[in-house]
Amino acid sequence: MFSAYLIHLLILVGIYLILAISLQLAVGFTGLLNLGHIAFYAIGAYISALLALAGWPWWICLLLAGTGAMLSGFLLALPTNKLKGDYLALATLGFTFVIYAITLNWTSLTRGPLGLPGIPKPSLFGFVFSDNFAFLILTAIITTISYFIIKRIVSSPFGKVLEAIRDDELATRVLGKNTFKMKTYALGISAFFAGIAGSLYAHYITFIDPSSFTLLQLIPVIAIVIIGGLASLRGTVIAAIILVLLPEPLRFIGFPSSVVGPARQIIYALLLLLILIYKPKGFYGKVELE
Amino acid sequence: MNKTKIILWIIIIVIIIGGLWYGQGKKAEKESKNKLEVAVIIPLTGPSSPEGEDFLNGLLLAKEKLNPDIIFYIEDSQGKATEGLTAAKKLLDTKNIDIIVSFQSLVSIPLLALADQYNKPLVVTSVAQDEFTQKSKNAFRLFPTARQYASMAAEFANKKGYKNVSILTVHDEYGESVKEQFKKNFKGSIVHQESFEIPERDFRTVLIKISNSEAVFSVGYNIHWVSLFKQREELGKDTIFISNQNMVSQLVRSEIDDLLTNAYAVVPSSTLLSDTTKEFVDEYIKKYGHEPDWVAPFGYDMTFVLDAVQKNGKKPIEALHEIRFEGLNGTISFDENGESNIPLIMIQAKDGSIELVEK
Repeated sequence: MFSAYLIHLLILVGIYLILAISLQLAVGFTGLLNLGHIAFYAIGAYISALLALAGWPWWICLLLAGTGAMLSGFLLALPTNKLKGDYLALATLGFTFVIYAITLNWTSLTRGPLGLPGIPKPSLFGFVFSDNFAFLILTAIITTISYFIIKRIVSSPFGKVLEAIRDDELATRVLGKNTFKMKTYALGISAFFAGIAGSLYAHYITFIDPSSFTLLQLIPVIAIVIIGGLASLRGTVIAAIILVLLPEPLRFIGFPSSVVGPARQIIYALLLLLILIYKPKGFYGKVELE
Repeated sequence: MNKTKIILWIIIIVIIIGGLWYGQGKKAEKESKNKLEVAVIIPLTGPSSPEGEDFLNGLLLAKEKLNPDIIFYIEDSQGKATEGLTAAKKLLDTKNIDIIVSFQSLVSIPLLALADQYNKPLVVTSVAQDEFTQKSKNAFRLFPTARQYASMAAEFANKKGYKNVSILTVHDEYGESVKEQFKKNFKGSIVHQESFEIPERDFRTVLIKISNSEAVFSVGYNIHWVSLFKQREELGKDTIFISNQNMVSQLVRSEIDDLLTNAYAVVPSSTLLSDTTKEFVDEYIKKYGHEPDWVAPFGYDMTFVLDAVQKNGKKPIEALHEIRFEGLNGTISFDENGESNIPLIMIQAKDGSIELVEK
């Protein structure tokens, strides 16, 4: 029914969606401007790829990818917990560079710039998800579970405290809430899902290298969060679908080969600008990014 | 949220998905039974776009000359794995692709899995990792391997009698591959080795550190060479460099031609002007208004490879193993592993020109 091309795009939508809703938990709901999200994605991808190449079952790789990223999230929360806004952004950005440097230079483990090729496709109870349609089903299931877990979290009392921290941390602390612990949990959970997305990416593309996890890769994810609207999961879903799929119809316009690349990017950028001009708070934004 | 908004968003998403579906919905009929349909996945934007464009120019120049029964479907990979994969999937789904042509390891390695899935040959260029073609029967490489480059450079250093050599390489897949091969083949001692990141432009400290070695085996890109030679001049050093085609590329020569001394490079034979390459260079300048860089001859030869495959009449994988012709880069053929074994030569840059040192 679906073509391989469309299936591929939908898989990418799923991976970006997990990345974006997990970033939304930290940025939109907790107010933590975290630019280290792509590092958690990388940690998940590398843990999963290395374990899978060592012969570990896929589901363990997936869970350990999430757990490894979550532990890194907790670790990152320790020194950055008292930081806010730009300072937090800068510190978490530093974390991205640290992880990038590790993946690039710890060559005995990661093969550095040579990357890790031949990452096996996921398999569960003897069934190998080698067919892209099967992989799409798997991605859809994991994305749906991730969405509902995060939705549950943000609508729970814990989620309300996170929103309170975002709006006024001091007042939340005065009310007796341990904001340090809450923010650490939020960053850890957010990192967990980024790790899961990283694992999916590694097993789908079957090759990863450090250049797949640079700051540049974070830009589309942040764009999804901002265009979807801060603290809106619904907006994030719509933005993820639109931003991943939007450039694709432009492939069919039929520009001359010399202008095909730049023209697509210019049109894409213009469309994004238009969205932000007419919807400055994003599609369903509840708060403004400070 | 009001219902109108929900309906509006649903409509937008349906339009996008519907547009995509319509665009790729029905696989196109094969243009003609005799025509070879080729997916060309190259970087047309991003940091590698100058090389991608140069390759494309060579490809199209040969097409214009040969007027072959080939249809090129050109897509931008942006030098990214995901983009390259998306572009290739779109073409494989919407066209009757016979062969995939791609550029760079980062894009070509993931594409190989896709080529295997569709059982289509993947002919790559600018991929140096030695093991690339060993992974699949669908992998073909029209480019010298890291081992070829580095072993020739090491043999040259051995012949010159250098005992102490430093290594200075860009910290990426290409730099790492050639560094390891050089270390395996060089018989003297490596007194200093250092890697630099792609954005690096200041080499003054490292130039001082390596100045006690007899020569430096170094691999970087155009912009690194411009900085390295300018800074070598600034520091008054006469360090001997042994490198590859990037060091003597058109861009580097146009910037610092007078500074290019004590510079030896392992390059494909197309870098040096011969009767064959002169004709190509003249045609290239006539069409594009500037001189070709080292990638363009690979694009040019690629069209000849595809033309030979089309004329062979057999299945593309079988035909690729059977072709043999004289191209700009020497005799082009593919062995049982899909390697073209492009011959390399050693040249020296001197007094604003380049001359052959050894074949």
